[in-house]
Amino acid sequence: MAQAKTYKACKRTVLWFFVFAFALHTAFKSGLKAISGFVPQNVLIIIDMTWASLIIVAVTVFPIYVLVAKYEVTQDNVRLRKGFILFSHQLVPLSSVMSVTTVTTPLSVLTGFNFVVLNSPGSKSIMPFVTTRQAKEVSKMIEDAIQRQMTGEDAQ
Amino acid sequence: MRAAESARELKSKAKEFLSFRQHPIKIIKYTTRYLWLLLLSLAKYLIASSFDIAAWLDTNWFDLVIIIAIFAFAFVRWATIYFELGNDRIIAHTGFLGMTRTVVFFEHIASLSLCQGPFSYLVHSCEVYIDTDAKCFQSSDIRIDLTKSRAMEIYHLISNNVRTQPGFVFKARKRQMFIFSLLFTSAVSGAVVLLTILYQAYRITDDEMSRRLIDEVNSQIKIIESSGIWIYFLAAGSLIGLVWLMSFVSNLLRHWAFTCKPGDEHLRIRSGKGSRRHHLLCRRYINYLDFTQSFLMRIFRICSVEVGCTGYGKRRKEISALIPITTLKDAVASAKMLAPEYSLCKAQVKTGKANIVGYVIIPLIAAVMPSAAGAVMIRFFPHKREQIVFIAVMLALPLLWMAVVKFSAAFFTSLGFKGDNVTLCYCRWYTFHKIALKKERITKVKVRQDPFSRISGNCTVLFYTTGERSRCHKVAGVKYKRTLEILKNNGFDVTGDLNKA
Repeated sequence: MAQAKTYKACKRTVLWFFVFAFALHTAFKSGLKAISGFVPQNVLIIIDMTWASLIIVAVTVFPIYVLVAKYEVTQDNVRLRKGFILFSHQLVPLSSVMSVTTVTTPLSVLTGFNFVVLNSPGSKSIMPFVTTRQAKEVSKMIEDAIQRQMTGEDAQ
Repeated sequence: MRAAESARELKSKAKEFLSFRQHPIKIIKYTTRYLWLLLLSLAKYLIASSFDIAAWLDTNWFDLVIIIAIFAFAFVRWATIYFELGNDRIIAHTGFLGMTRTVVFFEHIASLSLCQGPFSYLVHSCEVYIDTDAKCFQSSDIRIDLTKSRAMEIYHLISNNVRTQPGFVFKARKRQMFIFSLLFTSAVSGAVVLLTILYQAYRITDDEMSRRLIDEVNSQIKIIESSGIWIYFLAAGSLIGLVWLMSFVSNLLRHWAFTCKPGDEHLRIRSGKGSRRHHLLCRRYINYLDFTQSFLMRIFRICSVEVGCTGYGKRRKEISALIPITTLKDAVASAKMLAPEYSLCKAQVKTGKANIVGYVIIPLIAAVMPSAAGAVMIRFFPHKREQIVFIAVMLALPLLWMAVVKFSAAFFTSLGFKGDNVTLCYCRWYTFHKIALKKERITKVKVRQDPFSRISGNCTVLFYTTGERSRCHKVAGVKYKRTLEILKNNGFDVTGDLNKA
């Protein structure tokens, strides 16, 4: 039985997303106020409504997406559960993974905006919003699995 | 004596230099595409000055220097781009001044293509494309223009170990191919629909409407436009008709005299009239076989088989044909002979009557839209009711046709596993695909559910296969639980412990 390790998307990301969204919203509102003298009132209302609907959608969708996201790494496969309206389960055989890309930024230690990308020929699978520690761990596990497969340890 | 020896030595050195360079025609290709415009103006000046070379040189020296510089740069590029051949590899020095060095081992070559167009045939040159499964910066790993003999030398060197199976060579039947292509090519129906729409649009705009439109602009434009608008539609119609004809003829010529010779490790494909093509496909790198049919082809049991192999069929106007259009019976039998390692499996889960609504609902909704738009238009232009209705119907027709196709797809979609083989049947747009692939070529499996399919207990399965491009095979509307069970039994446990709390 292959050892499986399960990871959930970092909940902290939601909090930071709200902070970013609020900052962006404030900046947008200030920008809108600055140009209000040059733009007709009707256009301003349309822009404002569009922005509000976008913010509402983002603020609703993102937490659900993060809550649903779950990943499982075994010695042979990687499984991903993601989605908002279109829920999907993905299975990536490690035998097909050619390389792993880990995207981390200095701020991502706090925010949790880390991504692990599994590069297979013909497909790319992304594990979004994992903690820095998780990203490194997943990356290491996959690299080890690829190496094991290359050296043929599994077959022995 | 000594002079003759040195001349011989020089000659052999030049021969060696040339044998690892591209065809000299490449120098012309390296010069800018519109260089001839400059040459044309220079020639014009020469004629105008009654061939007074001195005066001509005096006035046009700068243009001449530019042309010489362009040719010199092209020559330097040609001289610095070269290739080396080893026993097991080819090394190409390409890119700017040959600074990119690409090493490709023969063992890793997925496909080798030699293309010779009519002009290349005259100058005895040949375009060589070498592709591997590795993703690289360019569209091909190596792309060079060589002399035909040198290209064939590489072709034979790579296929050196190939022992062709005696007794079977697939040859496309020309007459059958011509008739089937003419009858079943989807471009026919597309061209007919487009031509009819344009003709009707021309009928609307030729008289009253064009005059009304033009009256609102100004009188000067009116004079020009009133005689012009209908001509545009006619010209566009003729252009589309001509384009279709050209496309049909070029497609036919591309697959004319198509032969496929199976070997132990490779498939040798030759085709084309006018422009000859030689392809060498490595069996190990074949990703899948695709039995392709349009709706009419499905009714008349006609089929063509495409092969998914890196590099093959990706060039402009190319199709990755393994078996050009023929009867389904012939296609299955020939595919068995050409690629016996691939076999079609029985469907383990398939869609049926219950999925009809799910399949046809979107095309039907889309088909209603032109009618709704037509109804709105009639309110504004009631005197043009007949023509507007006609255009709305013509626009709705392809969508209704799609609904019919999707209706048929509801009884076609399936997936099945048997040992190492997987068979996927699905419909993409207007085309039916039956994919035969190996489990080992699957790089990702995705099971997706939207709220509607969640209620009905269905799902969409997407299979991603090895290849340079991300192309997935989408099997929609299959039973969720049964599909998960089948996938699990065949080593693709998609959910694992993820759904456990």
